[in-house]
Amino acid sequence: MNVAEPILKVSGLCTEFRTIDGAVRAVDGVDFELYAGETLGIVGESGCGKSVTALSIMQLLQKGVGKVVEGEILFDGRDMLRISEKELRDIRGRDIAMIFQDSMTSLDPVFTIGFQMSEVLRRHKGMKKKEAMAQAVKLLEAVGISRPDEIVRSYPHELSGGMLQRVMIAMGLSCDPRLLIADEPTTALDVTIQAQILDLMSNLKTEYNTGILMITHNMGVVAEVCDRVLVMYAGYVVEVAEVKDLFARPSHPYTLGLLQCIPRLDEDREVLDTISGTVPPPYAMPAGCRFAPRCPYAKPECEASRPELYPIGNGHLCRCFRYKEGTTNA
Amino acid sequence: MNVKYVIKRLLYALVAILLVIIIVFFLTRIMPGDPARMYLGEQATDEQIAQLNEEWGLNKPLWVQLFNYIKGLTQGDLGYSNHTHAYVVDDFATRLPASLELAICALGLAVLIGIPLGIVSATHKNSLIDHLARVLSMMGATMPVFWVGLMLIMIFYARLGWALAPVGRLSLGLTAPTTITGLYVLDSILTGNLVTLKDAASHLVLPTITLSLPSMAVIARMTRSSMLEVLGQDYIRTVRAKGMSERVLVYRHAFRNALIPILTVLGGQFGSLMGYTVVVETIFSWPGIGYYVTDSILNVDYNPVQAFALFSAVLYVIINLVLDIVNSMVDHRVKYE
Repeated sequence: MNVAEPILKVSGLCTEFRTIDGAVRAVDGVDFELYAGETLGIVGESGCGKSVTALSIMQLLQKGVGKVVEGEILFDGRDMLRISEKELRDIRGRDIAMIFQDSMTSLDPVFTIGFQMSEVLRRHKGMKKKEAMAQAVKLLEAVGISRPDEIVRSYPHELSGGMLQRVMIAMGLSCDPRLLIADEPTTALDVTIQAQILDLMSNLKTEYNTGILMITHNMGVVAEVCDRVLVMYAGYVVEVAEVKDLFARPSHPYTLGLLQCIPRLDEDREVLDTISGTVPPPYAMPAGCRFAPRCPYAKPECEASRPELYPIGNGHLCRCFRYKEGTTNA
Repeated sequence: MNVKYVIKRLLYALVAILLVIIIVFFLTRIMPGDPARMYLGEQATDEQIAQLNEEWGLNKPLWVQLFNYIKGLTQGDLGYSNHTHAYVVDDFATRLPASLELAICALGLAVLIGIPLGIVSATHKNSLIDHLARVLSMMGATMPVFWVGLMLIMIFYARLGWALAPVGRLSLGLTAPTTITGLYVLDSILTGNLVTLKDAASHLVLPTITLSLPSMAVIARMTRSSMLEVLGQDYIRTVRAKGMSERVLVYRHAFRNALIPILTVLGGQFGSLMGYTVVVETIFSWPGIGYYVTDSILNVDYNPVQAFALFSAVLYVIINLVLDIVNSMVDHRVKYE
């Protein structure tokens, strides 16, 4: 599959936010490619820039607050940063769909589910009202909602969070998008519903050959649905790997720490492992490696200069001096 | 919205209205001046005044007077006006259309300008337009109505001569159009009388602007803050992610949601509008119920003042009930039980 052109190619993406303390760089030089039918996970803790990356791709950053200042976002060969507002609107909802974290607040409370779903179909497929409504019912059925003809007439507050996330997925898939961006789609749901939603997304990926960008902080979700993973920390990528490879040989100290934080059934512990320290605030980023202040392996070199993403075989990249060619302590 | 709820609401309203009646009844009695002396004039003897008080029942204890007044109300009797020498009901009937015409125009203008101003202010937050709109609405909210009215008369009538004399609904020499609705502009259109239409409309301009300013300011500010809040919501981001145009986003999704608090504010505006009507009608000699009330107060005429308060309270209750019903139609999360 990788011989084909990627549907999404992000290079050198930098996004800044305007704050009272001046411009703050939330995303600093992110590169990745995403191919059709592939699920790419972006994982990291709150504030690492994963959601901002997603919003940057869709150009949904709040105007006057967040702005992409550098880089290129090529979707189907077109630079999302340079096309007109009109072209952007044509792509949104039709070619790229997005599902958000909080399904309870992501739908307009004063319109019916059916109306909101048919809006996309009427906008992008030129359907008539009735036709779009009928299609909405079919889509709801496809995402496993029972009594879809009743659900289209209901309002968001009448449905549960899980149901609403299904609605969001159905709405996202209504125009057969080439790329689906899911920003923590299961975080607000309880565990059994999470599994159902993830199953649903996996099925849809194989069915429609949609590329999925899965934003999450949950390593379980990554293991479940992703093909490839990007680990982000403090605004940049620290590790890239195939999902199996990542779990087999997590290389960056941060990734290691993340995996160690997950409690295991076969261990009996009183206290869970944590990564000591906190994420540096964006206005006080260390000059060298951003993880150095919390890193158990940190050396003077780490604080002095910033490591690159070094290849460690099998397409696996890691931003750590321990893997720099010629270093012996790898 | 069910029948039981409406009945409950109406019962509460009835209690509120009764309280208004009682409070206003006593307030009018506190007004300085003796109605009988006002009526008979300076030369009247004490016996004549005592006789008139006897006739009007004003020599009875207050609670008896109140009881008689409420008893009259239940029979649809608002009393007799001493200074117009007519029944208050009839006085109201002849003056209400004038007030209605002014109030409808003022509220219409307030909504037509206030809401778009608020929307533009919100969608262009911190732009020049936003700052201008905010300054304007601040001025509208703080400038006293009587002062605005006098200034408008001074500038547009006295200095520039653009406006007609600020007296009444029609220029002297013109006769009112055939009464169909009692609203001169509407009646002129219905009867095809272009001369009175132009004259009646011109007379409406200044008082309408004066009366609409305070409401316009409140509506614009409420629309702005309500829109700003809604525009920051997750579901607006969803609309954008669906590829909908800004127009659909602002007017269909954001405005529909922002409308809910605006409706509530609108209900409250009817109350203050009734109050401002008294001032504006007096300044522009507008022959409506507000002007009538001022006259009645000056003539120590109890019944019209009480009737005006009663009318305002009833109108306020009805309009807010209607707005609640509209609210439940706009927002399906609102359920009344």
